[in-house]
Amino acid sequence: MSDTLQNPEEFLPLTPAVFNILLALADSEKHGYGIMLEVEANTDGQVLMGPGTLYGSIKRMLKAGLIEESNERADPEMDDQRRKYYRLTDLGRSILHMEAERLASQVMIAKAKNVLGSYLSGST
Amino acid sequence: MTNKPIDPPVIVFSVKVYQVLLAAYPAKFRQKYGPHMYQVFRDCCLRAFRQSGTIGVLNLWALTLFDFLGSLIEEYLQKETFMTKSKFIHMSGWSLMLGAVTFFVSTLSALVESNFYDPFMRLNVFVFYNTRLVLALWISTILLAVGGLGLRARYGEQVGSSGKSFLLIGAIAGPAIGLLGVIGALAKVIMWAEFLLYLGNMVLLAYLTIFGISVLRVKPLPRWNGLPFIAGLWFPVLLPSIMIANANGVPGNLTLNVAKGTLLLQSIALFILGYLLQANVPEEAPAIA
Repeated sequence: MSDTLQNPEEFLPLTPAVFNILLALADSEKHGYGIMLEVEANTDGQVLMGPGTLYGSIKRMLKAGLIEESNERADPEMDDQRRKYYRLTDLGRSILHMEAERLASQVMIAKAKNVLGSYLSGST
Repeated sequence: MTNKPIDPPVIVFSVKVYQVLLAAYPAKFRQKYGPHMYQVFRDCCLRAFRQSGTIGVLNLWALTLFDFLGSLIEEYLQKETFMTKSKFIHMSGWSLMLGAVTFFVSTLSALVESNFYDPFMRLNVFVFYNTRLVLALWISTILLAVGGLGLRARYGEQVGSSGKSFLLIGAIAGPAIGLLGVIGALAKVIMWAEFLLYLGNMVLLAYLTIFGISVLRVKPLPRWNGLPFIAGLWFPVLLPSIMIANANGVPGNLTLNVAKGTLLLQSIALFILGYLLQANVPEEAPAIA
């Protein structure tokens, strides 16, 4: 049984680990190592998760109903059957969307205040 | 038929060590996720070895050890069969209060019974090989560290990741340094071993001070938001100052009296912080951090 909250907004803001795991699962289901690789690639190596953080987060996200285990395999013969795959739930997708919107609005504010523009021009 | 490739010895050794470390996690978590964590760690080892050889695997270990300690504490904090987060926060408040008393009594005893504050004058300055005192000092570190973890659990989300991280580092490093001191002092194998006992509390309280700076900024406490800063600051600043003062000829009685007074004030601050922590426990909420 999940501990799904009544109001999804109560999950926000997400921690970097949770946000990046949800983001890694946005386009396809993945196993733990696949999530780890995708998070590393998506963040240019700035978010490095060890197995403890990864599976600790997965455990809590399963419990909160943000992700679920999947038994489907794109090609079972190509993969290790011992691996467990995870995918987003509707709630997880909705919370990912809300968090992305929240972050986008923060970026808009930064742009409006010329914070982002001055940083970019200073770095070039 | 193809032969299964044999892993390099550094990987075989690493995954065996990691398998042993996995045993430290709570049983329920370990049974469900242990095999997957083992598999992921092995995959990471293979990739690190392919990219950078043995150095790559050593770098991976640096990340993995930090991840291991952090996630281990997190799992025990959230282990529902053990206690809820609210219960832990309540308990940690009492631990902080008890730690404040133990810290005061044991450090004051050490101040009075030893001439530790004069380390630059003689080599045999740490003369108290009193088992009970050594253990009391270390127990005070552990109690204060549990209190620190309670502060982290209660106010960590509000003060942000840096404040949380500093408290976690302090709560791990303080007792670990103190343990070295206990082993060294009791076995009489490490010169200056007793200093490590003080250093354990210094490190722990220094990180509490840094956490206190974040608290001053965000103000998550119901009142007295300067308390964590004050509760942490004095010992890490005072102890080296007294050592230097004594080394420069300041009378021992004067520095001892200053130390006693400051120690009392700091202990009171820690005690009040513990009281606020145990009295200000939030409603239970699901954590997905």
